[in-house]
Amino acid sequence: MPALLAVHGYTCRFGEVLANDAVDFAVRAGEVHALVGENGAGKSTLLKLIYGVNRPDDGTMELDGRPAVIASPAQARAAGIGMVFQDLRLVSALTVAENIALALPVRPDRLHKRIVEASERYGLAVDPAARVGHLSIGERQRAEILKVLMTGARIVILDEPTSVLAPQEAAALLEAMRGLRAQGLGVVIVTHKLREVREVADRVTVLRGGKVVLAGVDPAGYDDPELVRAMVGRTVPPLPAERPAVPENTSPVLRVTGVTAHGDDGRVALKDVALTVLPGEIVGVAGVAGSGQRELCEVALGVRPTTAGQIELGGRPLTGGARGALAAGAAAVTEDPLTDAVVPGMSVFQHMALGLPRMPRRGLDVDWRKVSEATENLDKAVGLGMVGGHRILASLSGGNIQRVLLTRALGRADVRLLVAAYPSRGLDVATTRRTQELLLARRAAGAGVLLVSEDLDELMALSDRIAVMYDGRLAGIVPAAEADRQELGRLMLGSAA
Amino acid sequence: MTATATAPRDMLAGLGRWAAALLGALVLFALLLLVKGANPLTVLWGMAVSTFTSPPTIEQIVIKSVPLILAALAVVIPARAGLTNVGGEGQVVIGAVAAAGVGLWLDPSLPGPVVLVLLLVGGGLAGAAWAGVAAVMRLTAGVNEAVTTLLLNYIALDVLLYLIYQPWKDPEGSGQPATRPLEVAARLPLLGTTAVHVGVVLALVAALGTWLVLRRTAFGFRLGVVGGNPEAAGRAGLPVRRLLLAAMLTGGGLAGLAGAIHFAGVEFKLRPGLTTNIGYLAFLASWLVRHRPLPVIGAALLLAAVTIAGDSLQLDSGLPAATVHVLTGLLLLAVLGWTRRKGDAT
Repeated sequence: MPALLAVHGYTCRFGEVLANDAVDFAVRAGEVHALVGENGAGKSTLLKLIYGVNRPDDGTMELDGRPAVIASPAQARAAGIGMVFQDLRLVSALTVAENIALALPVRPDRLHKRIVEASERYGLAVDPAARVGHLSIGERQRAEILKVLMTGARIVILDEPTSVLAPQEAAALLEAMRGLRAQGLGVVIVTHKLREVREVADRVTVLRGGKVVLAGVDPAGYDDPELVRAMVGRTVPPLPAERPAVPENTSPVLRVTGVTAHGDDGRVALKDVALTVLPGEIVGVAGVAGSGQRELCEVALGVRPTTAGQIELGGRPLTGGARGALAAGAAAVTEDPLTDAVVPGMSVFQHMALGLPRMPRRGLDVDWRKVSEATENLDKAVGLGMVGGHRILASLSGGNIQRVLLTRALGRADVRLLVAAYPSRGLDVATTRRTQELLLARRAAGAGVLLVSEDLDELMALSDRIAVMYDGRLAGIVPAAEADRQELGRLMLGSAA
Repeated sequence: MTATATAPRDMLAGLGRWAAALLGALVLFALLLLVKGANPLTVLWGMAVSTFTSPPTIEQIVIKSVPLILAALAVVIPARAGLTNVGGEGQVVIGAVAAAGVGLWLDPSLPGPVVLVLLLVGGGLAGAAWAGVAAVMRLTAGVNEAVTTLLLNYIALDVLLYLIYQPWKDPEGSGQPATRPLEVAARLPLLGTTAVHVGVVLALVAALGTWLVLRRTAFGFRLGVVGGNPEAAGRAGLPVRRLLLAAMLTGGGLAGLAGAIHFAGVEFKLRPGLTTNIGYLAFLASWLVRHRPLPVIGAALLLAAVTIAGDSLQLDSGLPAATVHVLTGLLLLAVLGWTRRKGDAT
């Protein structure tokens, strides 16, 4: 039987970059095909070519064995190719049914019934009358997949779908994907996580530098290091297991006592939270997105006012807002760099000047030569391969922006409290590993680290203790050595332990 | 990587877009003249000839551009910090009022230059204070400064009118109400044998100084950070509120200085309609060049020339002088619309 979709020799060039170099890729009916690779490996490019967002410079496509040309997303949808983007394309003010109605011209009285039927058929539980804005990310994702399926997709492509989900929700999504496979659909999942490849994929294609390295192989035939080597191009050593013990009887670098704070929307986002971070300790923070992690980081950094409770940095009450926190030795990798840290029109050097503990001065001006030297030193010490100092941030990709901000925060030896929110977001395996090493290096140098991550594996590998947040409260705090995914997941979803 | 290779080409393309924009504005203006029953070629030619061929009008253009440059810098500096100062007009008026007040209050026996310096300083401080009202409202109550500065323009005008109709009215004056003229000794001296007063030097120094401050000081860098992303500025520990206040006060001070210079160099007495829209024209001048301090000089000269040409338009062709505002508006729209580079954040 011919593949549902096959592309041959897809080549796509952006300026001097060969984003896809003679890529072959096929999706069969009734399979889950994982597409993996580092940042810049060409996964997104391949998806865009398949979905008709961009056109290939060379190469052919077949649908059900017949030659086909897809010139626009509309044509792709008409041909049965459905795409579930990372940023879900749903209108949050509308209900699930109304959102589906936008994509599917059906008489309103029949729509509700059709949604319920489809929802049962594909095992994607969604309440059609629920307003999208009130749904969890996992529910929204199910609604989006349902929308894609109801518009007639036979091939469903999911772009890093689990990166925003709690473990239980991710497990439910993988289960739903198995259901789609059983219905004879072709499913493509883009992911960084080998665990997911193992759990759900029948075949895996690895891209590296725009080329196919492993072409549609059964993942069972390869062990994890082999797959990582295929993705990265070299062996990535495991994180050091031997780590200096957290010193006991020291005074914490961060002590949060009974803190309550409001979120941007005015609701109470942090409720009576108490937490300490010792020097030389990494405290991980787990939780479903929007459980108060952002606000916790912000109160620790002095950028969000509290309505109750106390914050102490280095044994002294935090005063003077962000300036006070920086003076007390705090540094941050922020959750949302574009909103919180990036000045789009400014250069890497200028961002570095902002991050230095004391902006070097020469007369009335900033001493840009010193900034440039400091930047070079940071870049050398951190080794994340940051772009040149004169580059303007607005022209950089998300991964390169993250490298700049990581270099700025992780390269400094004088940092006593490091607040790192999703430090490896958007980074590939090799850079993620280097970032994790840097966090451990800061820890070994005696800094306290507050680490927020959506990746439980990362939290368990790096943290000494894991604090779980649910609905603005601290649902529990467990030593990482004793933590177990199920238990953490239960805490994340608010079930009483 | 190819930045150096493409720079000249970019510059040429930029010049081309500018030329196209200006030409487009002229063509539209010519259409308007046609509709009004005038021959566009004769009118435009007449405007150009009478504006650029006689030394007195060229001097007029330079004189006119002086307060325009200063008031445009009053838009440039707040814009760097992300603020929109629409209040140039009011700040110019208040600057002129303060200058006049200093002139009236000081003992006439004081040496002229002392009075002059004091009234310029007084004008600057008054402009800063007037802009400061808007800044404080923004920082304490979160009221958008574009709205408050605009509304303060009307209040400034009322203050001016109240003063010249009531307490400061010159009892010996006839006709239009006005204040007693400024002592001759306290007026801005002229440059050599020209009709141009030394305010032009102050304006050029201010433009250069603004460029230096914005480009070559830590203060300018910080203003740019606040303007580029206030949240990031706050998280980097910059005193965002103080920087916003400083930007607004500096801007208002320059506009106030523009008013004082206009008063002590051209008007010598307060009268209704004293500013002839200097503040609004300056706002356009700053936008024309996307709030860059040195090009502001060129934009101010251009708008000054267009305004002066408008006067000759009225004299020569019998068209209302306001017709020229159409040309000004078209110029602005054309330049903003067609020369916009991809990725510009305006």
